[in-house]
Amino acid sequence: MALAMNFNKLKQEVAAWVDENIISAQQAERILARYSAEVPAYKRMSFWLQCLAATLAGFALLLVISKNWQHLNWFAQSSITLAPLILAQLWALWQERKKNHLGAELGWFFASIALGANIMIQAQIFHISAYYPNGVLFWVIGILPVLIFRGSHINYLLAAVLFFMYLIMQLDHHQFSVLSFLPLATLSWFAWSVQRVTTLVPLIVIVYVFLLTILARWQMGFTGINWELAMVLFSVALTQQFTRLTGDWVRLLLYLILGFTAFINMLLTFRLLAHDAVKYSTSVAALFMAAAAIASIALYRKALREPHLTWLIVLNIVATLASLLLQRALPAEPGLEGYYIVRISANLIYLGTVAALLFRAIAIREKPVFMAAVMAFLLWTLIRYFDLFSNYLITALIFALSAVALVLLNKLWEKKYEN
Amino acid sequence: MKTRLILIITPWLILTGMIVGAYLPIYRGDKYLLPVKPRDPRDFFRGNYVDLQYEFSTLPATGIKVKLHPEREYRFGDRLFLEFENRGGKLRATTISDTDSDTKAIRLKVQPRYTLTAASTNFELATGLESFFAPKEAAEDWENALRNGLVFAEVAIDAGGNARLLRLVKIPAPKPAADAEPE
Repeated sequence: MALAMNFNKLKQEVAAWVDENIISAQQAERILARYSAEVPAYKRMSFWLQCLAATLAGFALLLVISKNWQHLNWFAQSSITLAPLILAQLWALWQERKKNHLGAELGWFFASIALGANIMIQAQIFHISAYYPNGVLFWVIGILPVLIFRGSHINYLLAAVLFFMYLIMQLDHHQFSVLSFLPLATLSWFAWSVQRVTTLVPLIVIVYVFLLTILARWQMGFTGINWELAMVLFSVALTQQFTRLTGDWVRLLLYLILGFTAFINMLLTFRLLAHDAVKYSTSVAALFMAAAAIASIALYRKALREPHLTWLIVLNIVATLASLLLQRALPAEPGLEGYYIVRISANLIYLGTVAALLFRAIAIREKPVFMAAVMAFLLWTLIRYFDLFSNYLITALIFALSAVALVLLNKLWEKKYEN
Repeated sequence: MKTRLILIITPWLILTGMIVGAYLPIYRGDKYLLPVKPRDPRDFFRGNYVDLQYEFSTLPATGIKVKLHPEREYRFGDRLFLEFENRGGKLRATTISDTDSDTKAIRLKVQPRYTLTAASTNFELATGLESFFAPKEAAEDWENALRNGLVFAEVAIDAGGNARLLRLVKIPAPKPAADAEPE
């Protein structure tokens, strides 16, 4: 049984129990046999420290390049970065022969960084334009075989960061390359086959930016905040598909997604942002993405993990999108747009979400969630206070009602949980 | 064994492809001197460089032939061709077009820096020759050189319009002759 725990610490504890005659030596052996002594490499502190060291060494290499050894010839300049690449590859192969997987993974990781340094030095020697997204793309593509054939987690993270950088460079210039499907497909495949939170979160971010580059390249119009809402739904649907993700991570991710959704609700209570959201509320891309995500969630409704939380997010977003479309259907006279439907709805949706979370927390007796919901409620009160700064009577009323709500919540908590 | 071979070879293939691609215009192309104006920013991966502005980086539409589609908006990333004539070793832009012609004129692949149309009065163009990587001190020297005279970029341009920046050259500004023809 491979559990996420410190086996060495357990070993020490069990030895102490034997010494204190709490358990017998045989029982100690049986207890230890229940747990695997093999701790995955990615859970070892030493692995991450060595990866960090390799990253710093990689930065050092890039800084050496930045010095620009112009007085040296092409071969001498190239050798500065070729030597670390060759050494890293040989090191990785040697470690593989010794069956030292940790050492091999580190070797491949440093080779990946050295590949980037080599690309950059050639780009420097040939004075290739400072705007050179293809350099970063080639770098990512060069790392992909390590993902495919060695399943290297740390190389996945490196490739994801670099691919994100590449996409941002492309996005800035409204560019898109068909070649970028290759890293996207490989990273998606890797994330799907490994199914960890450290593969899922980068994948969500990459898909988000990747789709933005497509929208920008083909001028599919501004999508406004609707796109973020649609991507939130997509994230929920994707998280639900990662069935090997542990329940704790699913819950945490869904809470974070709900928090982000509530943040958008709060933004929409302000006129300027409500205006932008209404303006682009009919973005076909955003609505299509939202519909596809909801269809996926509905299709797998029986297998949903944290179904209450999932449906709470879905309902929140559907209600928000509906309010935006309703506002658009009922335009006010020019110059008198207050976007009250959206702004009032956003307040109600936010408070409704907080209330649902409060009652859910009470029902499942989750004190941290309950307190987080209370804080979210207080945050709303505070923001409304600053928003309506000079409107003393209304802010006084909000504060008074909030005080009453808190007293009632306390009563409810005591009745259901404390007793 | 096969996967090890792929793991080892892939980075080398990428590097070789990149170097060959970068060197081809130098190998196949002819060399020209183009006047430039430098300044020195810094790249995250490659250090200091001199950002070069060529005469054709901002090209007035007057005086050149415009062979662009009248209704199309060209954006960054769209390939255009700039044709030059060689007047006594100095290149002068003559035509901008969106198709590759078979003429023997010197032509350079360019792209709009932002957007442009056939009706634009000025064409803001980028060629990929705008960055000259140099140590910080050297980059500052180029700025000083600009104040004292003209700085030329030596570039290699092949028949396909691919170009590579080779080096910067300091050439003193020619003294204006009293009987010189206005350009």
